[in-house]
Amino acid sequence: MEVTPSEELAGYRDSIHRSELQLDITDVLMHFMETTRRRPWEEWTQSLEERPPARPSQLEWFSPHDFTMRLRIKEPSSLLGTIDFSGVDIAELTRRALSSLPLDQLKFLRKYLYSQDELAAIFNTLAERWSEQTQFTSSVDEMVMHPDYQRIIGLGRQALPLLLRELQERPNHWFWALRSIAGDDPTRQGDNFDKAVNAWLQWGKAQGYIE
Amino acid sequence: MDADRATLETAFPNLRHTSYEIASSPARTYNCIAWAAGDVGRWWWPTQMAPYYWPVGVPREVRLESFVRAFQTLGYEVYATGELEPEFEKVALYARNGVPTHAARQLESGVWTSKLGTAHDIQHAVLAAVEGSQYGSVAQIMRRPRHASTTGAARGCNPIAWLRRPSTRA
Repeated sequence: MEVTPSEELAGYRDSIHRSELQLDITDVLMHFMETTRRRPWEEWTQSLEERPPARPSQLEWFSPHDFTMRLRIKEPSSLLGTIDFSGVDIAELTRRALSSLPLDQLKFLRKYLYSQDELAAIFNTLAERWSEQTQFTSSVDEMVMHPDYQRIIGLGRQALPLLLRELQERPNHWFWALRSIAGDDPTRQGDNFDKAVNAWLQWGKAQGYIE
Repeated sequence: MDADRATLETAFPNLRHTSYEIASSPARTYNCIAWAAGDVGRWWWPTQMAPYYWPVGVPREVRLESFVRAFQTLGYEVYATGELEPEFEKVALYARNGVPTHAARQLESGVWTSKLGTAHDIQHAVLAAVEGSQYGSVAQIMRRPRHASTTGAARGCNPIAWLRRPSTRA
């Protein structure tokens, strides 16, 4: 049975609303803003006001403060990072933005964002295989250049909560991946393994990635 | 433990033909280079970022020369053989295709001790025990005078008996 464009659109939208965006809504919104709506912030938000709101989604938990903080962490030098989001209903704004995404953009997002379940399954497979296949190496170079480790880095920001939880539960040499993805490094020269683990866990808690 | 031995012998087939013992639980806080250097608090590797340690003043390059210099900072000198000389403590550096991979340290009994990546410490009778596709082969042996307090058969070790005993494999 042939799927109509509108059904396909609804399917993508459902999929995104249901799962992916809970994980990292800022990536989606920023992608949308940067690639499809290159215009001043006020103009862009005003254009969204004219659009019908999407149905309730699972984005209610997303507070403006949280959104602002994450944006500043992710893109400190961007225009977005300097905007004062206080008083802005980010969840509503996000829903409107998503509801206005054209089909090709939704397909793009669906293609490049994993659902939480997909992401967890991929991450667990890669992490377990990496741990097993590098268990006898002392070489940091071999560990971080292993194809599975590189794929985990390639998962990007979506993988940060999983990486940090993995570090919390089964401490291993995830420092390189964390630094590559986060663009940050809370460890200090002279830290040993345990101190580096603690530094990253503290960082993850401070950023809201883990509890 | 049998499962651990099977895993080890798959990775290091030479272990099937020599005496060896698993001497510790897996640990991710230190590696073979640190263990050979007598340091169980850090992971030694010539990379720039924490938490990896490399002696100050030694080039942070994954080359045999850098590893030799790292052990020279501990008083080791380049030496040719792995024969037991009770008055000397020895380390063996392994390399694969010229790239350093592993280090083992000789105990006063003559037995070698190796930390295997993030896995176990093992004690093996001969250096060839961990040679193969994983670590390559021994590329350099170094020695330094063994400290008086750690020399001799203070622990009651008899190297000849240890080396001649039957395999402890199940």
